[in-house]
Amino acid sequence: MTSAPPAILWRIAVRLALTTLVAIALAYSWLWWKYDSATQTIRNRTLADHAALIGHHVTLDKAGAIHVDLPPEMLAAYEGSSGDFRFAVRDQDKDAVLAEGGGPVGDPPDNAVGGNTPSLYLHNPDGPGPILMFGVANPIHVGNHRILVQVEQSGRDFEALTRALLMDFAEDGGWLGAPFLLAMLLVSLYTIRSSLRPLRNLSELAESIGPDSTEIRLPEAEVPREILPLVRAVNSALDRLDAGFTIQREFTADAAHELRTPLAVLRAHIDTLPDPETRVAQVKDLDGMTRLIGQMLGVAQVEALVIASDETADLNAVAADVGAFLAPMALRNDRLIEVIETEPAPVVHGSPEAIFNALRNLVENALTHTPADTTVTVRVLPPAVIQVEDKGPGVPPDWRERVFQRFWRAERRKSGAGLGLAIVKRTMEAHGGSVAIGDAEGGGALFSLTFPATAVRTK
Amino acid sequence: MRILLVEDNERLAEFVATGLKGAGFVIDVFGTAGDAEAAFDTAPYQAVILDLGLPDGDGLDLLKRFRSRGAICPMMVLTARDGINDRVLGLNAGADDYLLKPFAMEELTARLRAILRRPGAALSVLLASGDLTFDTIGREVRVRGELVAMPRREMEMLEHLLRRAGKVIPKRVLEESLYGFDDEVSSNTVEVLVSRLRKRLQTAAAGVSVHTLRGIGYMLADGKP
Repeated sequence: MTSAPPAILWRIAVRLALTTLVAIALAYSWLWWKYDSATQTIRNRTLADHAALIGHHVTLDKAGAIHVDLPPEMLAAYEGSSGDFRFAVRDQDKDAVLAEGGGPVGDPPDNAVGGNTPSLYLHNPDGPGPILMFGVANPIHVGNHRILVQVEQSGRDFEALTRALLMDFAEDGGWLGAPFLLAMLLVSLYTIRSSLRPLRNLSELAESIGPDSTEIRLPEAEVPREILPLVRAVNSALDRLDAGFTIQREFTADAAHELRTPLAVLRAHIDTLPDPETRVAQVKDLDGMTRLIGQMLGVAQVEALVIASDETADLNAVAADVGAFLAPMALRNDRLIEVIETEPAPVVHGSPEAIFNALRNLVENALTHTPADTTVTVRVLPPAVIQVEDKGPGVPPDWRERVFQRFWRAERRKSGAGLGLAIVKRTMEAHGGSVAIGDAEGGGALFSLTFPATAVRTK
Repeated sequence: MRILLVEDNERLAEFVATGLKGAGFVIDVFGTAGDAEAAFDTAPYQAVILDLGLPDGDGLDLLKRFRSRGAICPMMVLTARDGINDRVLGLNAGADDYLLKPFAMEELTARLRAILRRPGAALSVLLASGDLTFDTIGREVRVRGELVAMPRREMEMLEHLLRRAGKVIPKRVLEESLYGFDDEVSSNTVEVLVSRLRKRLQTAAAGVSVHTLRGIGYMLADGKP
């Protein structure tokens, strides 16, 4: 057994969840990157500002000596930062530190030495330790002295701040992701359900399509545009099937006309013959042929038999109809038919016409086997059985399977095509029932047509 | 009596026309629905015999068109289709009788005479079966010309049986047509009446008898009961 294909809903859920996860990851990465670059910019600007500020306080006196006069509160700020903020003012020409605060700064970067533009650098005073200093080296000219102002700031604060902020954000954002995903799933679920509702109705309708209701077509209204081609294809397939069924049904009607009209011509011709003896003999032959063709058409009809879903047959009525139909023929041949009905009348789901034909074949068969001046009994029994009993020799057990085969005859030389009982069997199969042969009391055959109990109601 | 025969098979039409002419009818034959319709409008016909499969249309439609124009003459359908549904369709469309191909000329003439006798058609007052005759207006029953006296109810029953001679009349139908709502009908009223009628026919040595078919009905036919 193969497993059912995954539901659309399940596939959408999985894909939406993956997409949401990727989207959240991308959003966090972007935020991280944005925040990181923003903090870097802020830090670099702060360092540059500080360097410029310190640079303003480097002055040249009249004697040509360089003085670094930082305001005391500024110095205090560096000293009180416990090493997080440091500065140094160097005289590049003498390679001497003119002033410093907060702690030792790192060596200035090579490109800053002798250069004209401020340059950023990293200083790692404790090697692999936790301290990382971000620094700027700002070369300035005081008189004709080349001065280098270095300001450093420890990375710890920024790192910690960034990390803390991002952790917070990740936690909150993580929580936000779940309801977001859930909401998306619920919306998808609702969308799928509501757009598939017409399909559910369609499939219920499609289920009711059978050989007897080929006229049903799936409605195109309310069907999502994506499904419309499928519905149209199904409808067009149904059109073709319907045409096939119609052709099959019309065939028997057409065949009947094509076969019986020449027989009618022949029969009418025979009736004009002057010699009565020839007439009688030819009519007898023609009757045999007529009967054979009738039986062949009967087989074709029963093969194409379709029982409409609302068709019912009252077994009492069918039995009485068959009795009335065959009684004149029986009386002409010195035989009688009796019908014993049951009350209440069993009504089965079935085609009265087909059951009539089956029972007619059975009674005709009984009339040919029952001796002259005896009665063929048609008995309707509850829940839904019709029995036909004759006073003939009965059917030997060996033959009971074979008699229902097409063209089987007990005596080849006797008239009859051997199709009657095949029609009976096929009719009963089409009704979900069965036919059985038994022994009548005092000899004789007892045929029973049994309809399925599920198809019965009473009238 | 002038009869309209609509049959597209020329040979069959020819034989049927010959046969019916031999039986004393005047026959006009047409092979298409169009011709038949034109003829029906211009000449008075006492009956129509109609094949269902016509080259230019369905015989049933033609029949309906005749009836919708108020045609009351009896119409008989000739057909190759033997299903009950087809039969019911034909009778619903307004056919008076239905004959399956192939058929004997005798049968066709007998059925034609029967539908011509029916009420609404040209009334033939003498019903006959075997050596029994029944004058429906003079209310006289004769066996080989000898008058047989019988009470009104038995005569009514005989009339019903004669009108459908050779066919079974269900017991219920007979009951309903013989007795009014006010009459008290016990389950064996009809049976008693039938057995009286049967004895009377036997006494008169009639060649026909009323047959009882248990569970089916009654039928007037030749031979012993």
